[in-house]
Amino acid sequence: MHKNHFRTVWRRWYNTSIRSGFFPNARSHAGGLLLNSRHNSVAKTLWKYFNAPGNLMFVTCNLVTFAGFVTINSMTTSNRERLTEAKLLAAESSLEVEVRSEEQESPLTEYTTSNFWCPAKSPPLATYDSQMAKMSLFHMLYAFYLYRSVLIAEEDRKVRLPEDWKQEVGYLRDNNTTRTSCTHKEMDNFYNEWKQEFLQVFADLNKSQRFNLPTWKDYPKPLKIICEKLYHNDMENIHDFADFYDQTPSLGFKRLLRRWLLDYTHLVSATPSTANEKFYRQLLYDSQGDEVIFNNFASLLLNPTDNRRTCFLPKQDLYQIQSASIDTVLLVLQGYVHQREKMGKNHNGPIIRLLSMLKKDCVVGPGDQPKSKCVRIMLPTDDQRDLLEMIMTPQKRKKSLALVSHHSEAIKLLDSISRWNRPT
Amino acid sequence: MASKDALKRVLSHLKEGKILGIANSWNEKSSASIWRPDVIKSTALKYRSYNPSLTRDDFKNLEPNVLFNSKPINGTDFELIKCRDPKFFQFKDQYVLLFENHDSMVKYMQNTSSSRINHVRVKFTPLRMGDMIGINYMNYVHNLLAAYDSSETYFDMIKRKREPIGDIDLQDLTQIAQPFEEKSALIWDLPLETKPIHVMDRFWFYDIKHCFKLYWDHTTGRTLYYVAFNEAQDCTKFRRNLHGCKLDDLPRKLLIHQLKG
Repeated sequence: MHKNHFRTVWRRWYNTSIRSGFFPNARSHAGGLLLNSRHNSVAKTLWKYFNAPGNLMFVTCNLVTFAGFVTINSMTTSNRERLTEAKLLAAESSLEVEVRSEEQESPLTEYTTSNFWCPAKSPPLATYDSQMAKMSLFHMLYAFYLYRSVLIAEEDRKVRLPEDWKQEVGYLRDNNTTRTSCTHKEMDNFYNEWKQEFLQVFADLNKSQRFNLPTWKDYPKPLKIICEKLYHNDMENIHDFADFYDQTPSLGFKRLLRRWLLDYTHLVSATPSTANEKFYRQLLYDSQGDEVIFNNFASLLLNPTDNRRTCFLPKQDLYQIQSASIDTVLLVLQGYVHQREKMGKNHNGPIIRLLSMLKKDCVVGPGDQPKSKCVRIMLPTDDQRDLLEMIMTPQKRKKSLALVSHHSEAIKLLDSISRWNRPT
Repeated sequence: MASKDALKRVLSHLKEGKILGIANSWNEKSSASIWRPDVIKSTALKYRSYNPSLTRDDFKNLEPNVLFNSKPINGTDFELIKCRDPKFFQFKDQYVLLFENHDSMVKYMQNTSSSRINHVRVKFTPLRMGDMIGINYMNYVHNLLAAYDSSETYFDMIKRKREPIGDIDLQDLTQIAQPFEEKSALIWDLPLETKPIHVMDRFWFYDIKHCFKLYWDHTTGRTLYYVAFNEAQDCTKFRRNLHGCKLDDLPRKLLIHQLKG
């Protein structure tokens, strides 16, 4: 009874009987979408299924719900996209603002040509050494000139001097001193005092970079000229110094410059390749009356360990041994002879050394002409002595001695030396 | 022996730097005419230079008696301020020399009238009363103190707008700023992605109090860090050891400025 009732309800709602399986034997009924006999039963079943009101409602309900879901979903998605986009835009624009504000306040200063300020005239580049040489030279010459003006009273009557300079001298002058000359002894005193007082100042290379020649418009004329020459001189090597020395008009200044050069050779001999033997001869010649300085310059030739001689005496290319021209050696010899004959000073040691140098270390210099100028005297250090012995063959020695024998100056000097101990 | 006395006088005269054309001891012309009313009481001098590393000694050495004297001597006393940008603490091409009074300022200015720095003749101008330099320096000191405190204080501080106060005592401000300047450094060109904690971790050897990014630029990749140290010594060591270093894993050389001096 119950079973029957259930079947009826089932059939009415779902239009299938649950009699014997869902797909019974094929029965061919026309009037479905599927006319194929193979699908007949399926078509029929589907038709039956859709024909029932309950099923149709169910499917429709599903469809409607599904469509609703899709609509809502797409609506929310698009809404969210729009929101995100807006947010992105906002973020981007806010970032842009930030970037811009940063650009305005960058710690890096940008200079333009209009607001960039630079000094009108930049000074020439100078090395520490050359700058220091100029600084100490200027200071020495200025101090000396001032000192001399203080000593010598009559000068301001004779020449018109700038007012400032007169004031400066007047302040320093003691009224008791009335002198008319500045002797060599006072100059030497001055140099020694000056050197001692300012030695430390000219040892500090940093100071050289702070130094500039002052304006020399208020200086007396000789000092003005010196300043100008000094300003335009590079003072890079010994040749520059030689130029400056030559341009200096006053003998007194030259005397000081020679002293300065002996003490500050390192400042002008930065490049060892530029030896200036001619200048060395000139210095020797100029200082012949000045015993101390002459001996100092001569010692450069005699003392192989003295570094200062690199800027005066060139090195022979092949063996790197320093050498001097025979004229230079003879000039030194002549100086010593002069000192003995005129001042009564004996320098037998150096003279003997010079003679032995002439005898032993003569070589014929480069060039084929048989002139005495080509004879050079080698000046080896103790280490180089052996090397020199190897090079010097007896024939070479003979040849060079033959050349020396033609040198009239040499013969004259040797002659005068040999006459010294002879009773007259 | 008159010549010896004269020599002594001349040399000691020169030792004081009294060389004509460098310092004129005789005709100190009255310069009152160039003082306009707003600088008549000024005690500070401005000096313009692109060189950020001038020190107080450089200015002290300008006085002529220093050059030809081997011993260090006491010239006119003054404080040196390096003008810096209040926000990023960068050098702003100006120095200020603070003197005790107007007279010593005038004296210094006259003494140095023909001196040079880097072979260029110096040109000082007196600081006027309401000059921007004073206000900037005050802001700089405030921001520096804030930055040394913490990054939050610093960023609060730079957002705040300060009213210019009429009277600024630069002398006092230098006294306040000095200990903090000694313990502060700036680092250029750490990588963009570096965090403060990385910096402190990396340079653990130095006693870093804290650090933070002051500036960064994504297009150029440049960054500027502020670093506060607990000890001035560590700050000096840090700069000395690492300035100009190219560390293996960093893309650029580190550039380190100390705020001191």
